[in-house]
Amino acid sequence: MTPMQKEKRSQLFAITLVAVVLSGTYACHKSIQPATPVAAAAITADGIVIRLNEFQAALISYCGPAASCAPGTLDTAKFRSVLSDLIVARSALKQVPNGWQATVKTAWASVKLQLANWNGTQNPLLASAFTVVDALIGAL
Amino acid sequence: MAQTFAGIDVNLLAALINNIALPELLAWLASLRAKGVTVVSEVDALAKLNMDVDTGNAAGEAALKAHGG
Repeated sequence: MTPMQKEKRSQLFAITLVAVVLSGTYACHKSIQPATPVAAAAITADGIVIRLNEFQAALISYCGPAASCAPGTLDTAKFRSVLSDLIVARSALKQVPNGWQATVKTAWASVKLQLANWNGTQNPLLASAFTVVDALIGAL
Repeated sequence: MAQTFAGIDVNLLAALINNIALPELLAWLASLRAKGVTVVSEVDALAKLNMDVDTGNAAGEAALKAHGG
């Protein structure tokens, strides 16, 4: 093996090593260091998506599995409207990396309008999920 | 957008390979791990975002369908 080949081989080894070790750290630790601004933006957007998903899961559970939401919970038409707003917000977070804020704020305002007369304290899980999303989007 | 390899800026990789001997490189990576630092690549961050959006939208659409939407 020539010195040139040895050098190439050691470079390839180093590149592979860096990729493997860094991808390993991604899976194992909590402190996050985005590699690029694009990664940072994606992490920020994902933080909102995760909270929206939690709120949606709590809402679906609260409404119940029947075609109409359980009595005393939510109006089914409003439930559907909220789900649609959440889909719009998530889709914007995925598709508009540099300008999703306005769409997300508008969709969340619509969610709040649908739930204006809803007593969220009936369900602590749903109420806390709502509060977290509201604070997150309110801070945008 | 900077060129990347496995989500890592190629300029950073080149600097590492050209300027840091392998033992030093290993020590640096070990120190990152010891500090609990996670370096998240563009590829991984975007994949996670897309996965969470798709999962949430699929659940939302299924619930819409189940409730007459």
